[in-house]
Amino acid sequence: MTPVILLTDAFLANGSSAWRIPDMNTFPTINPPYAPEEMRGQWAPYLRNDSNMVRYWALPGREGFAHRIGGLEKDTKTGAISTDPANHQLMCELRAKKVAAIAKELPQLEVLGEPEADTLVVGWGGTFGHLYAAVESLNQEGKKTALAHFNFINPLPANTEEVLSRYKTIVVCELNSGQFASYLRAQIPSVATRICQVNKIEAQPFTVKEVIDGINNSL
Amino acid sequence: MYIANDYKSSGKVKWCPGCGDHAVLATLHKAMAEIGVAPDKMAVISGIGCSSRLPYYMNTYGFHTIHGRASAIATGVKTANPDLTVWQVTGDGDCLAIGGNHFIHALRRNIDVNIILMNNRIYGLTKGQYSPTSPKGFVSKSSPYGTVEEPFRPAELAFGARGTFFARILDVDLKNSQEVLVKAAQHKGASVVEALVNCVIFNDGTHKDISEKEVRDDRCIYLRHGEKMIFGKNRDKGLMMDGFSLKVVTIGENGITEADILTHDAHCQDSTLHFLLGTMSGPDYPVALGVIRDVEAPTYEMEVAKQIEEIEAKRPNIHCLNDFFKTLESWEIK
Repeated sequence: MTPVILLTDAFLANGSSAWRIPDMNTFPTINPPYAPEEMRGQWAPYLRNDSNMVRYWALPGREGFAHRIGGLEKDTKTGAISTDPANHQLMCELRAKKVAAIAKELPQLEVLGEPEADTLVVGWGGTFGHLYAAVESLNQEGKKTALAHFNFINPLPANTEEVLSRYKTIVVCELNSGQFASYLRAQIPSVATRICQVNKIEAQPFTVKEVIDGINNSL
Repeated sequence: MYIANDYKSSGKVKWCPGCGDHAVLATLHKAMAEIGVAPDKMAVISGIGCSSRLPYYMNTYGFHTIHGRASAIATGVKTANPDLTVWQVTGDGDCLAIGGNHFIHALRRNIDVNIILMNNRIYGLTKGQYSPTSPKGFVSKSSPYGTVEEPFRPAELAFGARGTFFARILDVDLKNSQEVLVKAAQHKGASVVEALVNCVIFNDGTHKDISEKEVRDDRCIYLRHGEKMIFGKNRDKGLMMDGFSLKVVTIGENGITEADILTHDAHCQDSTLHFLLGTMSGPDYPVALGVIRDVEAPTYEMEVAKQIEEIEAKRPNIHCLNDFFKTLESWEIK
């Protein structure tokens, strides 16, 4: 019941790599939150599960559960169209809470390279290979560097602040003018002044050398 | 057995007093009761606009979706669950401008969805801009000196997209409208019912040339399959072929008798005559109401289900994605 936006780029899409065919049986089962039978008669489409704020599903065709949904703001309880300002504020807060609660399900942010370093390189998306190669190369030179690569942007993994706060310098490398760096500064203000940036907007991937030079210039 | 009220939700109807959409809604409730499908076996899908608020007023499953995308979502609903009766409610802007592509492809695919296209020739919800069906020269907030472009004629578009069912109703003509909506639901495939509706605030009287009671019989022809194409207050006017065109004749004049008048064949696969009938307009011709075209053709959702069955029979060892992966070329790096 939560729309997901997947960010990708041409470098990732056109890249190739050998991968082990996954065994689908090892994947977690998807259990849609169907409206339980005991809710029959009291169910409404905008009622939520208190723990994760997710709404229940009633598939079209199910007897006794006919309902209407749509883009207009709905009453939190009845699901009828609502133009009440206070209800709109409540719905906005509920939706934000639902998205924030996803962090509980996300894997923790992991640190690669030299976790004890003072410098943390941060990236996201298709730049992983170049950033990892650059961090390995710096470590071989004796410049201790760690890498945190984000797979989830909103919400951020639950341990993001704890990880970032361990480093004196955080170098956010991204192929744009610094949106993720700005986002991190806003989301985790306690580390905002430690964040510097390496950016490239040439519609080309980073080269490892560019990343190494960028990190060195940031120190 | 159902009654109209079984299909009516408790939602407060928000259209302006006097809006033509009220009549279509009331007629739809009655038509659904006549069709007799249980409300929870029906889904009503809409896009955006005044008319697209209709699902909120139904006691069925309903989804007020994205501007222009009702056909796409209705196609998904019907393909995923062919047992549902699916209706799509849309307007001239939502259907023919923003959703033009979804609309023509739904018709081409012949998905079994009943589409009610409420045509008031204006964007009412956004307060009066010209739409793809506004007549050339139409003065509106977005065309202060009159439009310089030709409008779509929905019938022409539907036939061009190889539509299998096209009908037209008038908001003020409740009795015939109900009959047409029932026929649209009975048709297996994409059915389009163009509802000529008045927008009392931003385009008042747009259809009054044909909808007013005193002139309706002379300016409209109500088509029924198998019946003569006769119209007029005195039932003395009719349609005949004149070369590749239609002509209006008077029975009893120039030796013309009822036998000379065309008989309506809505089931004719060739759409040539349907095209001529669907695009007739005044002052020289009556506007055709009723079911203009209703032909059989395989439906998209049944073809999809059939194909899945055929492929499954051919590949009995593939039950899941894991099985499918095993059929592909693979190797292991050790």
